[in-house]
Amino acid sequence: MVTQETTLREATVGPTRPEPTIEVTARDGGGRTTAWTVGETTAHTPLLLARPGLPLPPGHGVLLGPGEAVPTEAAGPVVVLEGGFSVSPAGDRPYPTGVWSRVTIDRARRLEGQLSLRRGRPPTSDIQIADEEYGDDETTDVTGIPEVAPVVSDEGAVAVFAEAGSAARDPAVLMPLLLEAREKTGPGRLLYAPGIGLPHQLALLVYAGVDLFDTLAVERASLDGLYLTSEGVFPAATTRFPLSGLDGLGIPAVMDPQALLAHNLAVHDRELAIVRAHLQNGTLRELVETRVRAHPASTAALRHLDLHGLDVLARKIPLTRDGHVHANTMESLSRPDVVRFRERIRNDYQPPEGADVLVLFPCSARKPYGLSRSHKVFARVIGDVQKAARIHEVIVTSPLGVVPRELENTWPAAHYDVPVTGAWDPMERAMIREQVAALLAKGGYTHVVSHLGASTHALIADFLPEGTPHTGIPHPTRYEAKDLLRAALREATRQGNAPAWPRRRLADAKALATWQFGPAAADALFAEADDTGGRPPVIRVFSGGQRGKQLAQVVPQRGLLSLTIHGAKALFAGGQAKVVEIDDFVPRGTVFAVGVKQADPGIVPGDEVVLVHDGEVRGVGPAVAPGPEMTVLKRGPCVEVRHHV
Amino acid sequence: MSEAMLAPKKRLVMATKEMVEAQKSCASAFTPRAETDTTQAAKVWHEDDNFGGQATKALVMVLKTRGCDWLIKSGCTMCGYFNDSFFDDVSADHIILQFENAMREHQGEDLIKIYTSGSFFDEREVPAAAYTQILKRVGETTGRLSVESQPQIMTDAQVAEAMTHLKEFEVGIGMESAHDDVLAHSVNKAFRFRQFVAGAELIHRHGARAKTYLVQKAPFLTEREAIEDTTTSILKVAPHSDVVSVNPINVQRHTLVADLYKHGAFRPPWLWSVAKVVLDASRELPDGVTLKCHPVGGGHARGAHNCGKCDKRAMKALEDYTLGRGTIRLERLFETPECGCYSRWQWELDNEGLLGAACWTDPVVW
Ligand code: SF4
Ligand SMILES: [Zn+2]
Repeated sequence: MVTQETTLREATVGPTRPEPTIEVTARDGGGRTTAWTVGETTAHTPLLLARPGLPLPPGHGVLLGPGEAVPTEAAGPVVVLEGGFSVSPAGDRPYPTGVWSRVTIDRARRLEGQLSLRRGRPPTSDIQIADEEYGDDETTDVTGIPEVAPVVSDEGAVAVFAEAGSAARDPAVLMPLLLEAREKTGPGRLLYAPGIGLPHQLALLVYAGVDLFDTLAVERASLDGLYLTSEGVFPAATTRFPLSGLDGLGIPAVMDPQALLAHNLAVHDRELAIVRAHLQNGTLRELVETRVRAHPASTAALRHLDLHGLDVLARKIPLTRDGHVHANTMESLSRPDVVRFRERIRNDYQPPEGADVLVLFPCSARKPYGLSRSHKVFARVIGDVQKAARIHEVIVTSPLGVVPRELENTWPAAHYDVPVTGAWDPMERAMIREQVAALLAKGGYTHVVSHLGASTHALIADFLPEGTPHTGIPHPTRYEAKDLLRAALREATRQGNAPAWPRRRLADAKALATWQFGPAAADALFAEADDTGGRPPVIRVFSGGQRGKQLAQVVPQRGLLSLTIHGAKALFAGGQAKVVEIDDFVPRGTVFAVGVKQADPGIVPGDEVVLVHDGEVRGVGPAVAPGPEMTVLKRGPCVEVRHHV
Repeated sequence: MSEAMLAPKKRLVMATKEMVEAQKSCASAFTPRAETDTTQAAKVWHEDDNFGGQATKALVMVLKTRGCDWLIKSGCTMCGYFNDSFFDDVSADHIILQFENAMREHQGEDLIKIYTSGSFFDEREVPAAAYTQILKRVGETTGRLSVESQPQIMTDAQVAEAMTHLKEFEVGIGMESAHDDVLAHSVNKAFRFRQFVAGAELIHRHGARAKTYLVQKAPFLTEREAIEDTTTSILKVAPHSDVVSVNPINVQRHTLVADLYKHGAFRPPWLWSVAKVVLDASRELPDGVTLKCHPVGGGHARGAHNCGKCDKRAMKALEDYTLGRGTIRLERLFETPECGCYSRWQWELDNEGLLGAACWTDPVVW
């Protein structure tokens, strides 16, 4: 056997091996929980594969080496690694692929332009391979270093990320490889990373997409005399406090190796349970940001993940959901979902037409902002302005940068908490400046009014148009500031006309659509739109007036546009819909993976998708799985149907 | 096509090419020393040796040559000999001068040992004129010579010529492993086992002696596989050898092994493993064959090592055995391991193959 291959077997090995199925039960970041069923047995990942005979509570899988017998008491899935990692004197096995790829990657990086030969030696450009017995093709020239990709096996329900062990020494190497391994593995199989994952690393590794872990790293650390906790690693010899009660061992007089191992395994097991709970709660990222504090290199590992995984992860993270984002740390700024929000503002978002007076507001602790006391005051001041329909309100904040008022109910704008200190750190400063600059560059504003606090105003003052009034003094919520704001807005709107409110609402809904669907799709959806109804924040979008066809509706709970069948048809006709091809049926309730024939790979959970059969729109509703998973997975919900034909 | 989908053999070949390429570039990253005096040997020293079963005093010299021809073309993955050779165009005259200058240190030692960081029989390294002259001079003085060479390079005529001058002649062969798989895919050796057998036969036919060097833990082997490789190699080469020398790989600069080591993908063998190999092989060794093991860099991170606390004990046991004092200390090592790292080592033997890493040097604590 050359690559390491895994075979999933039932706890009792029978003559036939049933096809395993994997159903995703929850998603968060790049991680997921799945139900993994083989025959009668179902296990839940992320899962620990334990070597036989370890003191662990039940509920884990079993990891066996080549030729090892399946333990009779095994209740969970048994993963048997077949084949070896390296050259065996007896066999024909090649290198441990992990080590090899790792070395080559580094080498390829370093060797570029450095292949000059030794001084005074004739260049020997052809590669010599010693043994003529190996035939002709061995002596052909190899130019350059072969491209290296992580090696995952192609068969079975489990893909083994063989590099994990050697790459784990350097998170900068591990993270891109791990992401690539996850992509190569595909959603329909489980990714097993052998030999890595101490308790404090589990959250991050699950967030990056690992499904299966083993006990090897913990066993090894125990033999090295390390006392493991969820928050980091200590030398057991200097740990004066007793072992946790987790293992039921009480307080041993000395830190003997068996007690240490039992403690470490118990901590590991418990941490994986915590990770699962956070994942299902949608707060895995928050847990990751806490756990990576264990070591600067762990924090660096998360940054490498964000850096390399931005696109990959953002394609899996729902556009909208319940639950709050706790932007507690510097890494919160680079959360893929938060970065996606900012990128859409910069690249896709178009401010509402006709709203040419920009007013910048500070954020509020209460979300959505509109419910806060300060923003209610701002709303009353705006209400005092006659041509208020010209005013475009934008909130300046961290970690989202700028949040236009019409987006304030979107996720995570309506659902984030930051530790407010009033001072921006350097990364936040740079980010806020970038976002405000991008907004101003979109053009169309005739006037800008800054109702920001002094420090935020100072941060961006240099690129505000000359003469921009700063009204947030002495403080945005003070009485005097209110008057200043009112006066500045009246002055700014004095000349020129304001759009009628229904038109302005239409423009707001379209601005939201540019962020949600992209500008081209927004054009397609709003091509025939001519009127709005509903009481803000609910906006209904019509074509042919309020008695005509309803295209979409903004519901404050989601903060996004929900399409009707007419809206779906308009998008589809314009070639701008994210389409899920289904079998010939009328979709009701939920469309499951079995019914999906094709899905746009760009679909992100939360996207409005159009259900189509044979060129005919059948329904519409939000996706619950990423597009690529809809076609690969054999089970699980894909689209929640809101309307059908 | 993904790499993993390639047929086993094809994949093996690709990996081997990669290895060869990597090894070559390790060597090319090396900048040769500035011009030095090629009329003086690189090193000269005196040592005690065991030659043909006799305790003998020896004069040892390392001559500067252009270096091993195989190393220039490609090279073995653990070989750092270019750190000591690679001098431009060392003429026959200069090699003779080096030898003569070194011989000034000769204080009546019975044995002359000449190392050339390559093959003594390779005319590209040691020109024929120098070869003949050196043999003549050794013949006039002690008549006992020890050299090293790749086995496929030496000719019948060369060994015959040597024996006209010498009383006793020992040729060291860097075989490294008796398994062609390991030679091809881990060591990148220029020859194979059958060429070693032919070379050893040639040596014995002329009444010379063969000393076979083996490595322990060629790269890409797990600790357990390395034990198996070296133990069985000893027994395979023993019938063709007078002396078998086991050399746990130590990490030499500018080698592929050094590169692997730097990335945590290579750990020199545990002294536990070395002791186990010597002890196991010693029990089955044919009569008349001497087994030696003197781990270079033993007890240090870049050489065979244990935890640091028990390294001395293991080294002493190996030294005792090599000096002919039997296996008692080696046996005691395993009867009473005394050190906590013994269970760590055993765990590694059992689990390294599952880890996905050849071996880890330190725990991964990020
Ligand atoms: S043959 Fe000997 S000298 Fe030449 S590269 Fe191999 S080990 Fe080094
Ligand atoms: Zn020890």
